[in-house]
Amino acid sequence: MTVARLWLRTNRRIVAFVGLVTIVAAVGGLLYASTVTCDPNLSQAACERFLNANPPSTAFTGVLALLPILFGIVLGVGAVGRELDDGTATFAWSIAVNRRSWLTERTVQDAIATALLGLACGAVNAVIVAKLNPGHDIAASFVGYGLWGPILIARGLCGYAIGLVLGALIGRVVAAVTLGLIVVAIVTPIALIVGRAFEPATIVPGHDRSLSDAMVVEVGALAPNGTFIAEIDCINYAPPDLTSDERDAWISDACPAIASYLLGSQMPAVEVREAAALGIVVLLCSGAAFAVVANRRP
Amino acid sequence: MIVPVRLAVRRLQLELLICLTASLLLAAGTLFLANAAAYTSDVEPVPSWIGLVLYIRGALLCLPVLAGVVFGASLIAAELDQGTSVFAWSVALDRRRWLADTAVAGVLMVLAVSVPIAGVTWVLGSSMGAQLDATSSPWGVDPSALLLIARPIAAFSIAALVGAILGRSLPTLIVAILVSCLVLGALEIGFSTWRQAEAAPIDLSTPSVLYVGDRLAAMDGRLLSDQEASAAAENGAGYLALYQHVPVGLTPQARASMLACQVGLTLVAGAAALLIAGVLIERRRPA
Repeated sequence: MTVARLWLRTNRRIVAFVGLVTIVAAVGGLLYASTVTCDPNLSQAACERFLNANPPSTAFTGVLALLPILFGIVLGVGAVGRELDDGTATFAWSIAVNRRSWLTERTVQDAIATALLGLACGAVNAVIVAKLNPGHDIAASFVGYGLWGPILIARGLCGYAIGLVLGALIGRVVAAVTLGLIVVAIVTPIALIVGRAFEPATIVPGHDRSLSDAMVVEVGALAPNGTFIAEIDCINYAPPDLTSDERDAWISDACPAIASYLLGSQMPAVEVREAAALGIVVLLCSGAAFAVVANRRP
Repeated sequence: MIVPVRLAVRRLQLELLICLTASLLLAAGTLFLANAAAYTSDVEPVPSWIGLVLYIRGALLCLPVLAGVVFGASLIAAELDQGTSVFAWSVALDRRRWLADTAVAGVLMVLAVSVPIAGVTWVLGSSMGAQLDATSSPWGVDPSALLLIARPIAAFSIAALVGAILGRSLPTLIVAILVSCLVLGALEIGFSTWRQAEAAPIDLSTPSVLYVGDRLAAMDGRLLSDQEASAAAENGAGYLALYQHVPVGLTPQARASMLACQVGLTLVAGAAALLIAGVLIERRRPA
């Protein structure tokens, strides 16, 4: 209890600020999702687009999805980088048992706080996304993927670990936070790609709009030999001696549009794999941070 | 003025290096992606990497603003946070002059980061077209090159003001990001509403037009009002036999005048923030 109180006192400003923004975004998002309705003239597809893509929906869910990452980076940089920037690291290390235990104490509390914020934001966003997508089982759907659920915990912890190592390396708070934001902006989409890269895609003829729970991986054409290729490559199969009209007719006949999808039921596997990729980043960065702190000159 | 500016740039060389490297990499990556998108756009395939286009567009808008906030927080708040402002003020002619020198250094660094990105956007908008052109943008934010320069300057000034109030670098960085997003977002929403109201049918092949969206029009080209469009939609899919969807947006002339207004208002907001920061710094106790 004393440890938690001390941690809260040390980080009271950032906790108060993030807490305030979280509450405002959560209340605003929940109220908006509970009250928004579609124009009765809109088709079902247009209504779904309206509910998910209009500015209030994206603003509230976007803020809640980004907060754990920002909070993680700031806490991570603050853990070591602020001590180095203020010049208090030497004193802090001198009264600790050793640097490793000093860093462990700090990171455990910070990581728990980041995970709790990710959990809260992920839970609130799950309710908002579910309300904005009636009729969808969001646990088996790519609707609102990445905005809700436990992946926000993984992203927050990834932001924390990146902030931790950059703070320890650079020793300047603002520069480390800036670089942290840039690195996270690169790592997050890479993890997203890794998450879906090894998942087998289902190939469906044409653009099937009924697969609204699925994620489109690629749109292309079915080659004459039955393989999935880009449309431009299929056109290259056309006989060279055709007239323009004959060529168009050949393309529409021989290169039917097909698309590959990840089905909604594959979402949990994709999310677990993305979280695992982020977990590897967390381990690497945390290990590097411990090594930097242990070997850094006072 | 040259010596204080050089010293300020030297003090922030690490932040400048980070932002400048990111800016140049993003500019180069955007050009590369635009070339690839232009190659594939003829035949409408959607390669798996095409989702990067939206991401890159977002980065083009966000990075300059982030750089502005970082320089604003580092120049003003960090000086107060580390207690070096007392010495800095004592060697300057007066605090107003110190703030002017600091602001000039900050604006120069902001320009160094934002000009490559604005240049790429200008090049793409004027000649390369393709799927990464500047005629549309995520969240309806106008990606014009001048705005990509004006917004970070305003963000720098806002961060300077927040820094003068809070006096701590890290809280300044976070609060300034939020305040900048709110101020610039409010301006963007206002001008976006104006753009919607002024939108007229456009030819998308004309250079420098700003695409706003599709609207329903009668076959003679007259745009339908919202009430007429709703009434037409009640007829179900059959209304398409009577009406057509046409791309609407701003002609180059209308776009230029609206852009001048937005750039002017953005810079005025930044100047106002800097003036208030000057007043606060002048009245601040040296401790």
